[in-house]
Amino acid sequence: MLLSTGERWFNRFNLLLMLLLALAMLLPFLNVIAKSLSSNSMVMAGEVSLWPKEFNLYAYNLVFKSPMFMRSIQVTVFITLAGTLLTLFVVITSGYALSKKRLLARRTIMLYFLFTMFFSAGMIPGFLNIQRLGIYDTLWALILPGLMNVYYMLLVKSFFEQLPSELEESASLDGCHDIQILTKIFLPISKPIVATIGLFAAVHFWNIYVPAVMYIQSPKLYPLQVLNQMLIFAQSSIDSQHAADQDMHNMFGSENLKMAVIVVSTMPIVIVYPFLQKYFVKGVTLGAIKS
Amino acid sequence: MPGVVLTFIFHYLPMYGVIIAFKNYNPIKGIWGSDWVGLRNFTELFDSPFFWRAFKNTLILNGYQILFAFPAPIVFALLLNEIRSMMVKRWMQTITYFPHFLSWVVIGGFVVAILSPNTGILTTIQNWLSYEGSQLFLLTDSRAFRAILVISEIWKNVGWGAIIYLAAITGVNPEYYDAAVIDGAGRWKQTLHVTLPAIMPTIIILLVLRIGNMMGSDFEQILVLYSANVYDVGDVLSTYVFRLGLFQGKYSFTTAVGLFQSVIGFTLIMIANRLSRRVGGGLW
Repeated sequence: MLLSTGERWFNRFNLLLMLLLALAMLLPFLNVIAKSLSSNSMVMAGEVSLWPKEFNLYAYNLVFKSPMFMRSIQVTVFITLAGTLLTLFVVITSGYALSKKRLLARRTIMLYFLFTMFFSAGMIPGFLNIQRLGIYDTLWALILPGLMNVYYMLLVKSFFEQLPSELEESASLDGCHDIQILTKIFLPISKPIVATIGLFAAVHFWNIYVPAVMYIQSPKLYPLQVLNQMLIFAQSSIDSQHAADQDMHNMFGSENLKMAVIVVSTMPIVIVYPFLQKYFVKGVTLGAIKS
Repeated sequence: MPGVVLTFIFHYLPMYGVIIAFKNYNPIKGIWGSDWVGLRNFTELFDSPFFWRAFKNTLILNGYQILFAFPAPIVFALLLNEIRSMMVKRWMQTITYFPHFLSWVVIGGFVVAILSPNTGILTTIQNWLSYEGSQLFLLTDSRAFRAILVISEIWKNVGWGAIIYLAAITGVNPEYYDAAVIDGAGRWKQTLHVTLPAIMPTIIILLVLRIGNMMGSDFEQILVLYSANVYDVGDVLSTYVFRLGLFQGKYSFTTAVGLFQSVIGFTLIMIANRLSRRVGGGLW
């Protein structure tokens, strides 16, 4: 194709713009990684930009030796695993049932779910509810409220709806009941949607922060993000409050350590992301176009 | 269906708790046992300057977000669509989607890493240019705070937001482009007269949804980034409820604020749905 000079300039300009944007996305990561691998004094002196100075792994060593940090990793891994599996279970069963036209009171159930997307009682009644249920300051307060996500359920529902109905018919002729149809026929071909929602749910639970601030009191149940927030935004002068936890005390004010904590808590997402990327783009667009 | 049960427990049960907005809630007496006070919480609320400050901030901040952060993914999708090389396109998508999966806490860490007056890369750059940096911590500067919120929002979500527009662009019938080329339209004209109209319904629906979502959005972002220094510009309704309700125990008062917020949010969404129906294709 023949390109005019104007178009060629536009192409170059556009490519340059994209390059700049990609850099803007990547540089913060490089900066944080570089700082985490440098000595604290170099970081404090403002000498570290994109390449570590006085390279060392001291900060990482400290992170992985800290019982408090390891405990919060355990907490986070637990809620992520349990939360993701349970979310998949709840969302898939609900989405499957609602994708069937023969479900009794389908519209009413749909409205029942949709209403919660648009109206909520608010933060304080939610908080009192958690207290009254007796799950305040337990990990269940972080897991249970997030399990039924109406948006994910809609994605599942529209995924099941676009599958050919012959699949189900032939299976029910063979004498399968609903649960068998779901597990034996539908699930094996639902990899894209399971992967998408699995990733979303896993990220949600891994990143959980606000509910933890509201519902968790005991430091030993703090998920990773709460600990991160305390470390990142701590003034270097902070002390006393957590002085009992000597190892926490040492952590405050050490800049390279803050950065190491960020790197470590981002790693799992970096690792699973490339494997699931091809699925979620499909999953999201499917749901978007349908609804 | 476990979904129905869970929704009932965690969405409908709390609605019962809303009645404490009309009571003087006393944890010992419980929700039902506390004394009725009628609308006193609401009159107190409308008399409170801090409530109005939070309300004003919510509107202003969302106005900025809609003005700047909302169009960013559209522009990005249009530009990305013009990239010829599939490889560059893929890479750009992979890179720009990623920040969406990071928590605001981690992004807050990036903001600190960039802006911190001693260790931040911004100061480092200022030093390179041997320009005497103001040594201000921008995150605690109320003049910069809203800009930081908007920029970090764009940084986190520009790529992710573009997915849906890219899908809409891919769905455009190629014949339209051929016809436009025959009519002598260049790339700019094609974008203006074919691509943009084609994704307009998507844009409008998302815009309407975004406006309907004004009341509660950005809570976590602000909660992570703000501090007492920037309350005057950064304290929004949700953070106001959070601080007063959970840390000062003003349960009834903040439930009233929350109810006000929910009702306005719900009304906005209803209006938004009306509007989006008028432009074709309502939300439900």
